Amino acid sequence: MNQQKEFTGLYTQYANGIKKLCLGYTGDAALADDLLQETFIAVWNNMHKFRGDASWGTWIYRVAVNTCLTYLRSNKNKPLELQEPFVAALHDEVNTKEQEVQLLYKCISKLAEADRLIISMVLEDKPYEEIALITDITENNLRVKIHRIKKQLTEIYNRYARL
Amino acid sequence: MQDFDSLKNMWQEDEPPTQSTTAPAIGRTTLNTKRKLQRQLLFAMISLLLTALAIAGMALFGDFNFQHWYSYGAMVLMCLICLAQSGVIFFTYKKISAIDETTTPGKHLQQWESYYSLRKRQNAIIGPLYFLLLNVALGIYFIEIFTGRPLTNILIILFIYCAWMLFAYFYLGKKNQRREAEKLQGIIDELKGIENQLTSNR
Repeated sequence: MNQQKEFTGLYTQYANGIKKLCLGYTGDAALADDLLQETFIAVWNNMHKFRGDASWGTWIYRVAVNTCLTYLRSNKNKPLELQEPFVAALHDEVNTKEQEVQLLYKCISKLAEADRLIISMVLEDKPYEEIALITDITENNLRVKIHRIKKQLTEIYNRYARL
Repeated sequence: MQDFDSLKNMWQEDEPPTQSTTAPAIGRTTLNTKRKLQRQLLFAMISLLLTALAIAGMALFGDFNFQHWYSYGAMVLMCLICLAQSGVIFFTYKKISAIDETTTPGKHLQQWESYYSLRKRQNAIIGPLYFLLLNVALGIYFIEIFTGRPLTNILIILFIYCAWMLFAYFYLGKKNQRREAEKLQGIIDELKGIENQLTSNR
């Protein structure tokens, strides 16, 4: 299979999950699109390095995590604060599932950088073993982190959902 | 009141639109941190190489008829300084090219940290050295240019030149250097912070 075909296959399979990871990280659709593109450009440029030690999914998610983590370099790029007017505006309109999801992405982007990525993968139902491989965090440490982040995210979401 | 599983369902039901794509078509993005830096470095390196070539060309074919060898020596020195600076930029370019997006996040962050530390050291040491050497070369070059000119003209030109250089170095340069150092330190601290998030036990 040539690189082009293989890449297209990988993009079709993983772009959706990576987009959600980026959405959770930035809380912003336009920035998430940029990060998604940046990730797949890195994937394209580094495909020759893939040795098959892990699955393509693990490898691509790791590239995405690295791309996201090294992205926020200045204050102007930091995600917008989740302000009450924004939340109020969401509730002024019909409370659709889409708006709830947008609120969820915004709430995730309020967490610490590494936490955003970890919880996005948990929400995606990635096995802990794979998340540990992607992030290079020991499974035990990861379990502790996930427990804390789950609690934190649920609290943030419910706080803003009540507004 | 939503529990975590409801949030998970909400997340999994969402299908955000993604563009369908073929490999090289996904080209233009506004971020490109690594590639943007590489492009800037490549541009600076080529500019310096062209400057060195232009100076060498002038020294060889410029028909200046200098009486003293040190005037040509000054041109050679300028040429070498430009080449050395482009060598430094090439080293920086290689350093940034070696950053591996496929390695573990901890190592990846460390590679960026090391790149920004290098930039910080370069700004503090190589920047002023480049400025100093270039001015020494220009100073030597001016010796013959000024020979035989009226003293008043020499003094006026020297005054303007020195005033501008001192202003450029001690005011503009220092201000820019401080701002750059703060920016780089900010980035390094931020990377360290993220690294801590990954390694901490909570």
